[in-house]
Amino acid sequence: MFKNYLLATAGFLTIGTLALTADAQSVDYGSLEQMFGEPVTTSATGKPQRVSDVPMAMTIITAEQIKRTAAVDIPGILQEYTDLDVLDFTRGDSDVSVRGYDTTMEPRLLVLVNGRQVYVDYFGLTNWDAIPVELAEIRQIEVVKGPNTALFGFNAAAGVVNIITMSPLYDTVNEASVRIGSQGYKEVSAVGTAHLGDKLGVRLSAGGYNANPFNDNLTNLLTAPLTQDPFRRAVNLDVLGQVTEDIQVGFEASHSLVAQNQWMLAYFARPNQLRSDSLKASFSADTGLGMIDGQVYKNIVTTSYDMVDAVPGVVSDLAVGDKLSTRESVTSAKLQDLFKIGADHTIRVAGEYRYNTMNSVPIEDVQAGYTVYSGSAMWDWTATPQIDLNNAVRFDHLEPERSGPSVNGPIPITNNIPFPTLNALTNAGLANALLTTNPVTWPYTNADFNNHAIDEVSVNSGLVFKATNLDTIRLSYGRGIQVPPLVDYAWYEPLIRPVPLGGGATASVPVLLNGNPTLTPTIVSNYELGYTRDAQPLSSKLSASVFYDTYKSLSSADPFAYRAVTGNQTLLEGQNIGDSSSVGFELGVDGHSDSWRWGASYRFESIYDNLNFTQYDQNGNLTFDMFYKGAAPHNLLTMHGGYTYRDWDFDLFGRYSSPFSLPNPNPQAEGYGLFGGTFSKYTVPAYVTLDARIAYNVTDWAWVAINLVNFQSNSTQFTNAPPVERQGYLTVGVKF
Amino acid sequence: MKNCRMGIMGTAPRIIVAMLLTLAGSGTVRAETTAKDVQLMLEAESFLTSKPTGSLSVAVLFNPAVPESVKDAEVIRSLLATIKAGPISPVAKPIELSQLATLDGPAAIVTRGISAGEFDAISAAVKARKVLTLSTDPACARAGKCVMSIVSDLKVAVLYNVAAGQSSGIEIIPTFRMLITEL
Repeated sequence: MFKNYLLATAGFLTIGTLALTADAQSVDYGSLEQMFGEPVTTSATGKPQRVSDVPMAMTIITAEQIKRTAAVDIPGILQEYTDLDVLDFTRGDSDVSVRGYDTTMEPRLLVLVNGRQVYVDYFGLTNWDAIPVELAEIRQIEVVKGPNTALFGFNAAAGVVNIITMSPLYDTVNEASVRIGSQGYKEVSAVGTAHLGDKLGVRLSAGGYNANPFNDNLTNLLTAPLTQDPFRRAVNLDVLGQVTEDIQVGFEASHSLVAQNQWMLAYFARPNQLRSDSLKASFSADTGLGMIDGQVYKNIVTTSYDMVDAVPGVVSDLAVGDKLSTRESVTSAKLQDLFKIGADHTIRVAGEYRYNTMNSVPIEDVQAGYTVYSGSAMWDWTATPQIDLNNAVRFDHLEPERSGPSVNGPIPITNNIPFPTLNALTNAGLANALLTTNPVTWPYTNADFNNHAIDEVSVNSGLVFKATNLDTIRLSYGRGIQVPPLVDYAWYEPLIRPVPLGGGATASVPVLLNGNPTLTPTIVSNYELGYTRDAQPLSSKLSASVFYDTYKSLSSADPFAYRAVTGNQTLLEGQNIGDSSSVGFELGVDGHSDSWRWGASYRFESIYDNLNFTQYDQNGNLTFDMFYKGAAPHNLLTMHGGYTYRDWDFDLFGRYSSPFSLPNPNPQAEGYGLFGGTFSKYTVPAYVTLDARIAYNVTDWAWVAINLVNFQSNSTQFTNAPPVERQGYLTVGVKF
Repeated sequence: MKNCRMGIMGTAPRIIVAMLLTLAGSGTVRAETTAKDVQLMLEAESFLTSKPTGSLSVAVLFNPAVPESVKDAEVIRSLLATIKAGPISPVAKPIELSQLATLDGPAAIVTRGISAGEFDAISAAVKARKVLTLSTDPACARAGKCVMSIVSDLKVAVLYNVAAGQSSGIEIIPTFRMLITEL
């Protein structure tokens, strides 16, 4: 074996690339899935692979499964088919993570659509409703469990969800549906495809809904008024053309606008309206140097939070009726070459440029962002027909840049640093007095940010051993990187807050919410041993894995990170708060026959925190100790089963979660301990939730379906937010 | 799936048995060419650089002196009459090995029961004639006598003999090359 390795390595240096010449073909996922009887993906290594061959833990939800889901959105689909953690706060606001560590604004799961990130960098989160894709146009949802920064770059730290849409050139989707439901739900969705011969394909989709939150007592939790009318609007254009025999060119454009109540970092909700626009151009070419793919895209995301301050005694520069607005843009350009050397070696080399920027919040005078230069390579070696070794490495160089007013010293209360509504507040006099006698001091210069470049290496390595035709063993390692979200370069907000003085007493002092240039990236490492067994009867597959993950330098995107009071001033900024690790195992089974389908997955996990944060609640308990350790259920079980009888489809989905803990919502202590308010642990009790779909195919081109979500009870406590109610939907769909 | 008419009571025990077989590990090797084999062979045509569409003449190469080959040829011929793969509508064209000179179609399925020497004759006949020779016998591709062997008994396995492909003037698209076993 080792001799073969040496020979292969030497071969790279001497024989060069064998040219491939062929018609340019982007991956035709549908035809390949039909050929191999299982989905094909490029999201593991960048090389097209059958899902059973990838060198990492991966689940793919197919279009057929999506069609039969009872859920009406992507987080719901993930909850029904995978053992991902899903915090379902309210309509349109869910947070999804891999193997625990789920938080509000979950930052460690990179979500993409056809390789274009829909993950939003400003807080490091995914707004699932804003993804401009209709369910009917999804070819497959690819879920990578574990780091894959070596392929996708920063923030593919703990996992990746890559949503692959139908090809405008290879697939034809002409479908429209109307859905009404409980909680005032009304949705329309349409997808249409047009082909000009076999040279050009165009797919256009649009959809949206209006609804009420599915939390009955949402307004009772916080004194801030929340939106009662969440909605979603989205439109997406996808074009793919065969320009020459060797070149394909693609173009995508999308727009989405959503309104929802978003659970913020410190587990309080704010009404939010988010607009997302994107443009993307891509090409693929088969050349003498291999399959060369390139893409360039630009995302612009604007958000507007209603910053109605809910906490008595807290004065900010924002008040009733004010908006906290952000505008973020991401520009990415990527070039990749994928080629084979002989029959056994596949190489991928790639380079990427990214430029992210946003305005500071809430005062918009500051621009903050970063430029990232990356280079990556992958080597896949089929050492023997039974053994495949895959290694990928990537280097990222991040250069922060911040510009605009910043003074390393007292911030004057002038028009330059406006407190536009301060005087309108009841305690404005107190605030003015405090700011006059204890001026807020900005601790950093722009240079402090600009001099903190980040250089990181990420790695994925996997060994796949096909012990028999039925049995596959997989050993893998991954090192992923999560960089601080853009707000940690851009926060710029003076406040007046009550701060504890000890003995239960508090005093109002100025607080400066600011970015932190000294943050270091969070490093996620994954060690995993997996086993799968394929068997022909009913296309069944058994899987088992054990994993050990470590999180080094968990940082600011999580709540509760703030710096100590200095004199009468508090600096509130992101911090690296320590380490954590988890160990667990997963078991799964999937299968189907002509008329039956079923699956189940079980995950056990234990998390061990080693955090350097010392925050105690009123009872003297270390509040941070509960955060990661307790915030993931030890036991998570998902099951689904379905049956087709004549023109009827019946599908049932179930999920069990053992208890876990989140911070207890308390509007009187916005920030839950950040400012000395009462902080306590909220235990989400064990729950079972059931979803179901019953569909009748009236003709080959029309169907009616009833979707029931969380139907086993009137409402279920999934998070520390108000319980989620039972939901029912009636859908009428046609193909045209 | 929509067309399935199996009853619930009849199917459930089958599922339980199948799940037990899954746990126990089953996998029988079939002795004759199946509809799935033929379907996959036709699907493979769509991954050639010169992708055929419409009517596709598929030669079925058999030895009339070998009962296994004759039987397999008849099975394949009847399957080709009923199977359609995307834009491809196959038309079976049985050819005896003694008449390989008449082979002119873009695809040829080699029946079971063919001897090693006959493999050589087939290999020589398709040389540079852009004929994709297909077999369900992995040994055929491994020996370089067929361009491609497709095995669907357990997991689908596609073996592609690069030298045989080049000799026959066959090219497959790079994406497909990444997914199969090249020999």
